[in-house]
Amino acid sequence: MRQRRQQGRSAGALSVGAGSAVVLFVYGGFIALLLGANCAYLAAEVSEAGGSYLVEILRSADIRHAAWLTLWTSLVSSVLAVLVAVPCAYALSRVNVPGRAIFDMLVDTPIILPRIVVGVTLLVFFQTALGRGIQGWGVQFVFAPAGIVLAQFLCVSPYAIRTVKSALDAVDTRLEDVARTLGWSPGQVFLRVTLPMIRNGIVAGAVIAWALAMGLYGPLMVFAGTTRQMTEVLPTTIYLELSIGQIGTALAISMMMVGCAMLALLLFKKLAGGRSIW
Amino acid sequence: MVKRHPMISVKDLCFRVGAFRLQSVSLDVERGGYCILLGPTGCGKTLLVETICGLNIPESGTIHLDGRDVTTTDPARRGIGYVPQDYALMPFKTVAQNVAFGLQARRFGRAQIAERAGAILEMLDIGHLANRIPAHLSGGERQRAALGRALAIEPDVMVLDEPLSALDEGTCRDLIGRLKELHSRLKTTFIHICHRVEEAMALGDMLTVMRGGRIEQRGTPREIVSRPKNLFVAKFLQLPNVIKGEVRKTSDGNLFHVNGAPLKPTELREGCAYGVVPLDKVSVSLRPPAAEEGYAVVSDRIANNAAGPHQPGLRFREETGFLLPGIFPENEWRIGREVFLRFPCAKLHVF
Repeated sequence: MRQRRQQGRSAGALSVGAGSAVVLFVYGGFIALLLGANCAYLAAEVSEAGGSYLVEILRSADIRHAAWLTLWTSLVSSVLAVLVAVPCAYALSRVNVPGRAIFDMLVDTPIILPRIVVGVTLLVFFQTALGRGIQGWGVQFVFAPAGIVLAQFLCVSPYAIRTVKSALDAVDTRLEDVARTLGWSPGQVFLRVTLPMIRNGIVAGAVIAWALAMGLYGPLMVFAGTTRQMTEVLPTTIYLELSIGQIGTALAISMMMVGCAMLALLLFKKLAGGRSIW
Repeated sequence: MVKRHPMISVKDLCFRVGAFRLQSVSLDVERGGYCILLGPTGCGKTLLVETICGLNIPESGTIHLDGRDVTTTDPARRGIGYVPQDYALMPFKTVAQNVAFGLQARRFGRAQIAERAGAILEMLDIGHLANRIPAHLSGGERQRAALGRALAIEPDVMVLDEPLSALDEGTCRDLIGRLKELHSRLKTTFIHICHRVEEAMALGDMLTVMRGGRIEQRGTPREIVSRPKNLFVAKFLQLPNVIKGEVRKTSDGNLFHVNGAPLKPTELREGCAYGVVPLDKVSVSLRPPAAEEGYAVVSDRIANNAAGPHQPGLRFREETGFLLPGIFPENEWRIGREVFLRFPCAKLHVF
């Protein structure tokens, strides 16, 4: 009887494992298929227009400027997002803030807002007296690279906050309690216990924020514009190239972005020393 | 002569968490004492020790450590070594780093930290585990590592929250021996939470029984076993010598009766009451013994003759499960047969 139950359990575990593997294969295959279709289209274009076609696209000053702008703005905005995410997530997870539910909802609002609305909201804000005052202090946001960083930061920081908060919620607070009884102050406990415990959550939050910031274009077009060699980022370039029928160029840039993102993800995993980040 | 104050003195402590509250808890533990906090799950033991450690600020009441008022002092400055229930070892640190963690907070030099941590690890026989991380330790090893971490700071008071609850019988016995040895060697004051009576009796020189956020009874193990305050304490300690009876009003005042026989005067009010009697003073016979001044004879029927190897003895039909240890041949001492228990009335404690 017991043996039969054991067999039943093994069979059950096997079917769950096999079922989940099938779903993984189908999903992974679908993504590979999409990327393969892009590559095939690109290969056809290259064979028709010659090998220099791709090189020309990637070497053009406009594309190189857009690539550089995309890279630095997404890096700055994701770093800013993490810097804000850690204290916000800590407050939401550990501090009895008055009206915590309201702040919890406010933090999530940019997630549910259509992205384009974030751009419009920023544009409207900088038309107000306060917005004009901020611009008057010397930092130009509207139709400027700083605006790209601001829009990216607004769109990606809720994801960074959520990721860091999940990591914080998973930390056993007894570890912090014990550290306090051992002689550490609350600030030292955060640095020596909490921070090492949520390290992977912070890295995951940064990676998610960076990946989202890299691909953002709707609010940037509205708030920062699409001026070549000034506020044009790669996703905007893809959109603009598609709108004038340059599918090959758009795909070449897309594949370059996919390649860069995959390299960066591999690098992050390597840096994490084989530990699971996400 | 200067009167020495207790090492821990808790006075009228109140603290609320949700619907539960510690209600005016007072507790003194002498210097070098081993106080056991005993009680069912959810009675507030952990909340009380967390408050003593400074992890909760009480609504009212005071906590003194060695005569110093620490009611609102930061946990870092109380000098308490705390071992929580799940040990809470830092998972990203090795055993040696965990033990050294409190010493780093006290700004000891690197060499001094290594020396002291090494000595603690050797004392607890976990020197060979120094470079392991907690995930690769057994329950007993984790417990010793957590104990080492708390002891390393040379605390005035050690607080252990159910340190043996997740361990098997053998490991548990071994660790009880180690704790006894540590306590007698270091002379540190211990507060130890547990809900197992054997553990409490083996370790404590002072027992505190809690229920529903209150202290039901405090005393030495001997005092509590021989004079439980109420049926809850008697049942929680699984006392095998509780007799159910009633208090009746007579011309001589209120008397405690068992099965209609008046046994002892009491100041308790009329109604249901209980008594405990030392088992070594009880004799049992199949025929009524001769009446004798100062002795009580109570008749009862055998509910069970558990002649097993672990707890041989007669169990009677008292709802408290009065159990008389010994081996009684089953052909004579049959279930349902009436027998007579005889004991000196002076040894009976009524509650």
